[in-house]
Amino acid sequence: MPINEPSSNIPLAEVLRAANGLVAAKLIEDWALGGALAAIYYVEPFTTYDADIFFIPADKGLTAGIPAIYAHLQAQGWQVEREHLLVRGFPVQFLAAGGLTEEAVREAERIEFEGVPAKVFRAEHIVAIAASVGRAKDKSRIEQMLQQADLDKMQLEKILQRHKLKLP
Amino acid sequence: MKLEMRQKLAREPFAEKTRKVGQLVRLAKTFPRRAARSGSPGQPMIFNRTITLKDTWAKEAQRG
Repeated sequence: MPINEPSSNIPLAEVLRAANGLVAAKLIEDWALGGALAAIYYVEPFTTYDADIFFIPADKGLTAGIPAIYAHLQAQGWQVEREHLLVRGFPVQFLAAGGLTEEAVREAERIEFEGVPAKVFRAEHIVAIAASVGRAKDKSRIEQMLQQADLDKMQLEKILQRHKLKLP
Repeated sequence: MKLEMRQKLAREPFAEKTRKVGQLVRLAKTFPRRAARSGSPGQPMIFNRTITLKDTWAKEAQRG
């Protein structure tokens, strides 16, 4: 199927493969899946309309190499719509990691998704990031993660302390 | 939904869960008004609209 042909399923394997391609092209150092899809790795499925890929930039300049990332993916048939890149019509946001999110990328869990090696934020980092953002939906996410994910409470406490965060 | 059922869903393989997310989006396409009224992560299996997207994929899905 051509890469810009819309899909009714989430083309997650293609997203992950593309992120690996960015590492191979030396456009990013490392990456991990974050956001709602990372939470869904640990909890029951819920509706979400995009994927968040957090990356550690290879280019430490102000742009974090984002123009080159966009150009690389557009050359592969991805489309751009505002802050999102679209693969098969599915929006993906590439977000430069820093501080807590950079730590989350570096310590992310290695998984394999449909044969594609990938990394996904650890549950403890998802909770800590939600605590740091603090919107209503983040508080709901924390509650859901605490109920359903197999959290390492000590690890979570260490992360919260390290980043001076508190659970709501 | 009972907590046990939700925890059982949470333990399913990730690929299966992402497939279900796709199903939920298709449900939102079939019942867009109902989906738009529901949800948060605390109301799982229905709708957790991530903030950023205004929502090309969803719009495409709703157009069919």
